[in-house]
Amino acid sequence: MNSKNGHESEDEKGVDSGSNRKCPYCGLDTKGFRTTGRLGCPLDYDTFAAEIAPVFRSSQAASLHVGKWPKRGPSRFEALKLQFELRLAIERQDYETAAMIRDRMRDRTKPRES
Amino acid sequence: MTIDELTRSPGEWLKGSGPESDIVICSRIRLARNLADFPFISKASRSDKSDIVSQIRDALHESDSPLSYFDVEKLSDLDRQFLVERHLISRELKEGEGPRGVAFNADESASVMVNEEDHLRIQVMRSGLALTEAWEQIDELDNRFEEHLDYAFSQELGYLSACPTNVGTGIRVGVMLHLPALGQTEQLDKFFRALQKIYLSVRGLHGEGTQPYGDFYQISNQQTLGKSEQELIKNLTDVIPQLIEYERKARQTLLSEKRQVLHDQVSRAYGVLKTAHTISSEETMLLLSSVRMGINLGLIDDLDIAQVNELFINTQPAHLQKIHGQTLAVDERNVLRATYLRKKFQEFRGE
Repeated sequence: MNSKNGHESEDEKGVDSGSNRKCPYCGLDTKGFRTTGRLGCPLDYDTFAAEIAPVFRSSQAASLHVGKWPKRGPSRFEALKLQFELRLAIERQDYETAAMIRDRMRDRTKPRES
Repeated sequence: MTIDELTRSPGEWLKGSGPESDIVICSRIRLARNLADFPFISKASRSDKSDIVSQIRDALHESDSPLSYFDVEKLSDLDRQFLVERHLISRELKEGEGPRGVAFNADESASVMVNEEDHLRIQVMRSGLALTEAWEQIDELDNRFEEHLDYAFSQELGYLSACPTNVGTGIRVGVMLHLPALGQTEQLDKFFRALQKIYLSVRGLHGEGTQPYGDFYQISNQQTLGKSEQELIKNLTDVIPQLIEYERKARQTLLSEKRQVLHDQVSRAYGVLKTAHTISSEETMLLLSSVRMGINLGLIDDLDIAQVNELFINTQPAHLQKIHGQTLAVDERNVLRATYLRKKFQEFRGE
């Protein structure tokens, strides 16, 4: 989801690079997704973005949501994910990315434009 | 509310009322939702599934929901099949593993499957063509749950679902149509191909993976991301009236060009149902489909749609066994079904 920000290479996700990636949160790997077509957790939308893109192209109208929003805004899952990314960035001493993630965490707490 | 009590009525989807109900059996909308703090079902442990059930049951309780919860894991095979036949649970939930359930209201118009493909599958069914009303009801229900549950939702991708084909709105908007006259023409395939081009899919009576049977078809959206709920509903409400009109025209054409053949077909179907001594559920459905068209065309005048709908639902295998009060082998069921049909037709005639 955030690959467009350019600071999340596959290596940075802390899992195998190359074609068979594994989600650090639920353990689903590329092969597993290709076999079943089902994801294991919300974070997989990021981990397997490359595999999901063709599904969107063939079956979806666009790649951005334009419908209903939960009243409480994006879910805590977003916060969980950012915390997870922050921990990984600090672990590999990538302080520049860590600072960007902290900025994003701060942005999330601002009121959303309606 | 108990499951046995449901046998007393045909349920919302077969009520046979509502706009265009001679052709549109029912309108259905479902929303796929997942809780943010848990893996999706394929990676959820037994304890995750149990926690998901607890959170959703708490939300039902706290939102003063009129939906009663049933623990599908503890239900008998017969009760599970019974709920499938009433369109309250899917085959996937019936055959699933671990803690899972369904909650629904007394008139069966609203239901929530817990731990099916997604943590929640919220569904609203309305008799006839009533997608706007169905959307209003399900939107309100979703809002009420949302006050107590933290849904997995991303700004870019919307509601996150286990299958990427449901992500975004998580909505499936569908209508179930009875198209017996178009089914006899060669036009139906052409229409369905045209529908597929505008991202609408055609399925059988029990949804995904089932074949159309007895000229009953479900038409629903394929896209869920990149369009709003209202746009996706409109895609359907724009084309369904055309299909209804084509079916009406096909019925009139059949009546004017092949009245004798049609009358014969309908009367034979009616005759078999009234006199058979052993009959399968498949044959019953095909014949009832003919009889239903016969009533709508004025070829049968001593039976009404509500009565046909009652027979549709009650002759399905699990319903038949629930009414009879015991499980039966296929052969025994076929005899019982024929006996039940003969008895009901006598009742309808006031004998």
